[in-house]
Formats: sequence, C-alpha cells, structure tokens
Amino acid sequence: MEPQLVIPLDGTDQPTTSWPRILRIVAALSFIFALIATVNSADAFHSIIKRSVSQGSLSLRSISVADKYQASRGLLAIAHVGIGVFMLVAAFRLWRNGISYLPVMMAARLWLAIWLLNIAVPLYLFRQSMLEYISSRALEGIIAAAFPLMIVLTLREYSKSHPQP
Amino acid sequence: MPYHTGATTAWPRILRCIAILTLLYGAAVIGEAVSTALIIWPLRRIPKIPATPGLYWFWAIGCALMVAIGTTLIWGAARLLRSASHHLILVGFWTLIALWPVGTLISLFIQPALGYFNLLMASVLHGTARNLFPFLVILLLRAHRLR
Repeated sequence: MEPQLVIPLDGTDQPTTSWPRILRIVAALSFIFALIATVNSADAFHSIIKRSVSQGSLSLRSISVADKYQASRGLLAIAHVGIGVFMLVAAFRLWRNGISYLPVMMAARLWLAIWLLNIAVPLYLFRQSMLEYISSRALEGIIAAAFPLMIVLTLREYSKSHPQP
Repeated sequence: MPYHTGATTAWPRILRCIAILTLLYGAAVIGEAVSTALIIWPLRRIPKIPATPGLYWFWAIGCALMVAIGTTLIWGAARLLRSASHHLILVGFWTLIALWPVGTLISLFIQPALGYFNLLMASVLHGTARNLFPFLVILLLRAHRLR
C-alpha cells in the first residue's frame, strides 16, 4: 500500500513555528546592535568635534585632505546615529508585534550603505595608501558588517516566504 | 500559506547564507590576527610599539588563537556548504564568545593604567559589536535544530 501524505492532527506546523522564533531572535539582536551602533557613532562624532575644536577654526588655515576626511566621517557618524535610532524603534516594534519586519530590513540596508561609504570615502581621499588601509580598517569593517548583512538576508527569506499584498 | 512553503524551504538558503558569511567572517578574523602579528613580530626587547613583555605575549597568544578560530570557522563553513553539518561553526563561535570575557579580564590585569571603567566600557561596546554575528548564527542554528 502506498504511503499517503497527511498532516498529523497532533503534529506541529513547522513553517509557522520556525519564523516567529527567528523574527524574535532578529528583533532582539537588532535592538542590541542598534543600541551599540548608536552609542559608538555618537561617541565617534563627539571625538571628531572635540578634535576639530582643539585644532582651531578652519577659516584661519587651509583645508587639507585630513579636514575633508574628518568632515565626511562626522557626517557619516551623524547618519549612523540617525539610522541607529530608527533601527532601535523598528526592532522594538518587531519584537512587540512580530510582523513589521520591513523597517528593520530597511534600517539594516541603510546601515550597510553608510558602512560602504565609510570605506569608500577614505579610499577616494587617500588613494596612495589603499593597500595599507584595506589591510587594517576593511577587515574590521567586514566583521562589523556581517551582522546587518545576515539580518537583511534572513528577512529577505522571510519576505519570500510571506509575500505581502 | 501552503503547507510546504515557508521556513522549511527557507532553511537551506538561510544555512547557505550563514556558511558564506561565516567564511568571510573567519577570513577577516585571520586577516586581522595576521596584521596584528606583523606589527608585534618578532617578540623583541625594544619593540616597534611601546608595551610590556607581558602585553606582547598576550597579543601574540591572542593572534595565534584568532588564527585557529578563523581556520575552524572557514573549515566549518565549508563543511556546512557541503554537508549541512554545523558543529565546527558552533565550536568556533562559542570559543570566540568565551574568549571575550577572558580577554577582558586579562586586559584588566595587564593594563590597569588605562582604567578599569574605560577598559570595561571599551570591551562591552567593541565586544558586543563584534560578537553579535556569532550570537545570531548560534541562535539561528539552534532554531534550525529545534524546528
């Protein structure tokens, strides 16, 4: 007799039990990530401002490549703070209702875009020391970017499994 | 939602993503350790950067451990890509996470001049940012096992 494909009455529905657990993990860890990213970026911005103040007014001296680099780092740090706060709220909402994953996905994508700019700007400004830069900062960057990238990929799988109208 | 779609069919793709990112993560860990080793090599009495011999040994042992963990992660990721066995990845990431408080404690003993509060804060912020990916992978693999 051929085996019949049946859904057991007492069996758990695997697809519906796996995703809530995954979304909870994503929400909790995204919240911690956003908190740490916001604090780190705010601290970076604070130290850039402190250094700029100690170096004196830009109007009194010529603007060097280092000044441009500091200015770009400051702007990117502000962007990271903003995205971090947005991600905090998004992760909290995802934890609470377990549905609204799109804002977390968007925040992670934005964080990665700023991270790419953080790598691209110094490469553009200090072209001659590119190899030295890649060996030092970019490796640390890959480690930092692995988490948001995994969040984006996991939530993309979720969106494929749960297409929204 | 149809019965056969959803997390069950998504798992192979999620595991592949985990494997590829772990591969990159392991390579980056090895790259970082090697670049640090190049700075502190050889362990000399008049070093390139000012540090006590104890600190030099701490960094050197740390580099060797990171290379070993990175190799384990790459090997584990390759195995996950081929046979869906994730034990080596778990071993690598758990070791990495376990070394975090150990490293912090040793730093507190070796570098008291930096200040306990500063060292603790730096360790919490830096360590959390670095270890979130290992935590995520461990929890996802756990969810995969319990599905």
